[in-house]
Amino acid sequence: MIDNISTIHFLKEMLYLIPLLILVFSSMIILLVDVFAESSNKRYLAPLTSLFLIFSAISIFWLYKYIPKSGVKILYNMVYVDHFSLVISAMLIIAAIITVWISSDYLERYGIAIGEFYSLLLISLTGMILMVSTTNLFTMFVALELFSIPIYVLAGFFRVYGKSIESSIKYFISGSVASAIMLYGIALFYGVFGTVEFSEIERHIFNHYDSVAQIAKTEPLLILGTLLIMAGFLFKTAMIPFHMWTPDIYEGAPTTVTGFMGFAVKATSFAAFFRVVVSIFNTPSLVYSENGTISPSSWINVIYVLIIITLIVSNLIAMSQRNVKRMLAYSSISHAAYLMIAILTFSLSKTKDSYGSLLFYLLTYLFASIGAFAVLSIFEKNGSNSVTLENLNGASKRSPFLVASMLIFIFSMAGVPPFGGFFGKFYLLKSAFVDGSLSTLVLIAVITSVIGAFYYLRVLVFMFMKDVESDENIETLNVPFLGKLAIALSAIAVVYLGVFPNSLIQFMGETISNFFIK
Amino acid sequence: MVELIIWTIIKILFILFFVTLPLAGVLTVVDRRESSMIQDRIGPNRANLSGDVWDLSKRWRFLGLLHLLADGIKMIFKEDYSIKSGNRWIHTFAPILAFFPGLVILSIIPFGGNVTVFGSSTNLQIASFDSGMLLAFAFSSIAVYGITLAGWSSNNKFSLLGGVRATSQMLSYEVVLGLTLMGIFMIYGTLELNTIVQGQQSLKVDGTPDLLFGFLPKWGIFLQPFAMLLYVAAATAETKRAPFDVPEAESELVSGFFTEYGSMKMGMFLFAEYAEVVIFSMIFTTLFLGGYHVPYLYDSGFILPFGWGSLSINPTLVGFIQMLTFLLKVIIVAWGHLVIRWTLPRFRYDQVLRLGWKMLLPLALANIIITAIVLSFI
Amino acid sequence: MFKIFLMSTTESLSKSLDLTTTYLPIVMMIVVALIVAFGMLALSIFAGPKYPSKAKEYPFECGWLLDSKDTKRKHSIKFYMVAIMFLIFDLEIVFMYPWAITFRQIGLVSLVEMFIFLSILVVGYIYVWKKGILEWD
Repeated sequence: MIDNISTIHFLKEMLYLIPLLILVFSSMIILLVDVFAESSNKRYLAPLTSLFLIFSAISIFWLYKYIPKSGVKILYNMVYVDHFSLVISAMLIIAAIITVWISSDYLERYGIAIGEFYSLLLISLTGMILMVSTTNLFTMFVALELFSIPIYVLAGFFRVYGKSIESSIKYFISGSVASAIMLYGIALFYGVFGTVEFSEIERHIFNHYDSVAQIAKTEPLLILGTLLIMAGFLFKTAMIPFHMWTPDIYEGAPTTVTGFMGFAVKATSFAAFFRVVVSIFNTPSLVYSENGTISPSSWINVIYVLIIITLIVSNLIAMSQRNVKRMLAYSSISHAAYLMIAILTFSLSKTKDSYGSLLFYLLTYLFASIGAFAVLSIFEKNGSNSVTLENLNGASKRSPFLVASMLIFIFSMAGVPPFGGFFGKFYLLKSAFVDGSLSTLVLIAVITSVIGAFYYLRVLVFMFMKDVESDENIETLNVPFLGKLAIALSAIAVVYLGVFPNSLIQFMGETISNFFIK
Repeated sequence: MVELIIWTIIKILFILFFVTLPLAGVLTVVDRRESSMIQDRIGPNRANLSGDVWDLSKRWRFLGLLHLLADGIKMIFKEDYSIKSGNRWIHTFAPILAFFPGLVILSIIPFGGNVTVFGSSTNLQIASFDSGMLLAFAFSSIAVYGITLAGWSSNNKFSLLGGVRATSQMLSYEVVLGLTLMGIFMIYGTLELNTIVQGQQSLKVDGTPDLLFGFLPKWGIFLQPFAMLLYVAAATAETKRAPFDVPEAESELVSGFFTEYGSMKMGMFLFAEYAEVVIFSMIFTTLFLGGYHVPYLYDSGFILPFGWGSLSINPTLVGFIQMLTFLLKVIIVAWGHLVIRWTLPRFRYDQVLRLGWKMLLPLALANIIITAIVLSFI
Repeated sequence: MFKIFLMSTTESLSKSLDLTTTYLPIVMMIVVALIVAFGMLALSIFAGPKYPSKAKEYPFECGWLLDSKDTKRKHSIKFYMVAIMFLIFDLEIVFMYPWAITFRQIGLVSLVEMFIFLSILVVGYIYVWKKGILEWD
């Protein structure tokens, strides 16, 4: 009855899933602890959660050394763990740790039941890590739902505020539609090829078709499937025709949740989309026409046009925002466009320069974005759950530490030289420029980032130069310890990335180059 | 193909019109007689053929079975009025949704072994396929729609409350029902009922009987006694009969979800209840009481345990004995079900749901875990 | 179109006869059951007398609460909770059927896997219990 060989095999496979297993079980433990603990002890939940997250991060570092460079496929090829997925997972866990540290005090201020928050955060994180570590369309879809649904709930976590509920419902409905569209695309792929495995789909496309025109003639549903899957990703990454949910949801959701989802959802979707691009979409017959040029009906052109629209429109709209959370929402849309340039560069040029830029940009964006939202969560007036520019008046007198950190984050996002964000943009645009076909795009990106500097710097203007009208806001803000730690570490990380970018970008480039080890 | 269709028609006609519907009809009368006996009163005794009401010796009452006929005729010739205020279409078709799914479940129940008539051989089971018991669950949950829609479309507070109560009760107990039977499926390794029946009493490869402790047949009741108790409780709740009859509690809700129904539409709800009792008894017999098997009787004849000898019997005769055994077991179980109805007081509604969610559900989970552990280490 | 998909359908064409013999009896049973149900309905509709009157149009409620619009109102949240709980648990059970019937063939691995699965379910169950969803007072 007891089958030793299969049991050992099973346990060995579980070894590769340890980061995920830690997250799953810690989410359950926290749920149970929350239910059984007295309310006075609930403030220990945040340290407990971050402890679990640190365990998970340690196991990721250990796994990074343990697994081969080509990665391992486990659970009947349903899950694929490689260096790329581990790097993204580590970034996601860092984001979660920072979020937990800020949220602990933030939630207490609002008097919200806190156990479920951490549990949902961990479940969502599990889904994200699963999504980046798979090369199977079905697993990818399940993971997408697994990380989306807790985020929908988290967005509506402030049940007493109408905006929070509204953002939750909006996100849920639009997100479900996007998932359904993506699922339909997956179904078309499955219908055409009878498989959902990336490598097999690639093999089928490679063997059966020569060019986009031929696919369009013999198998038009394949083109449709490509576009539908892409639409799902474009929604999650908030590229422009699919961006309408972003400002409302960023504004309505609790600020720490906004910070988390602003980075994590984006990073996960980009990482997964990157995998899909590398494995499926980059197949020459999906990109090129018969004479070797890029086909006019290729997905590349769709992305190309969308990037231009996104860059221009998001930056222009962001200029007119008075609400800082909405402004950062539009700024995150423009960052999505930059990240999309990285993917486009990768699939067009394939010079080694472009390898690290996507991951490095994500890393700088991680600290700058979550840090900025963390600062906002502290400036937020009780009971409003949103921050306008006027709320920041005289901030430099209320808390110099927060304003100094905010300056670093804002400079980084705007791309001012000594900080991480500058080098993120620099490497990204440089590698795009080296490949000649994208030079127009690079030009537009540079111009729009100059426009972007206007609304970023306006936040600083309000913080430093305007004084409060009345005396009531003048009292100094006391920043809780964990929050201070999180913000300080983020600021240090942003500065570090700006000062010593070389080793990291090389490391990121090696991670990506592992894709081509067969 | 033609053979299959003919056999199927014969089997459907037999199980539906000669077993289930008559048995359900008889149960309506038995229910009333039994209640009168338990409550020490005379009960229905007026329907008779001689027309003489007063002289007991001159009445031809046929054990009271004429009441079945009288009830039926009365139901049919009552006025069928449909309400104006509610949703009339849903109101009209809700009884059908409540009535027909139960009958479909009959198709997976094996009511006898393999029989050969005029050289054509068949299993006495209408449809045999791998998902077997899942079909029963699927169709029994369709019946929930009938009840809900009946309560909702009546535009009556009592009906609505009855319908909502019935829905949440049936949903709750469907969960328990699915979990309790998991142990049975694990032991016999299938969802197909005929395979389960054969697994309950079979011969080993060497031709000796496969028995528990050397003498007990491997019936579900002996292998899963705990699941049996849970199943009886859950299935009784699923048929919405006392002590779980809160959806139609007369003293609280007039008559629950069918308050606004009259004539045969109401008759269908009542009749569906008794048909469900018969079907419950059949599934119970099949899963726990060895189905159509007689203890120690195999296809070739009796093989007694402890080497007490054997007796070979004509296979055709065995087939008919098994069919009669099945009917006998079903009748006994149905009778037991009626005894439950008249000896236990009704639960309060919160007690019903508490029993389902807080007691039966964890017990059923525990049963699964214990079964799994035992099965993997024996 | 659907080149590879078509290949697999031609393979399964030989199995379709088998499918018919499996499911035809069920279809026949459903048809017969529907005929019986509709027959009973038709009997009462056509055999009974018709005496329409104003009073019969009102809901049967012992003379009080004649306001019929009042029935489409909100219910206790508990009923919705039961519906959500049912969805969750019934889905879990659906996942357990394939496990249950192949349990004896797969062995210990499936035991461990199902324990993980069940432990997640039980954690949710405990959570729901402690949150008071199962209380009906």
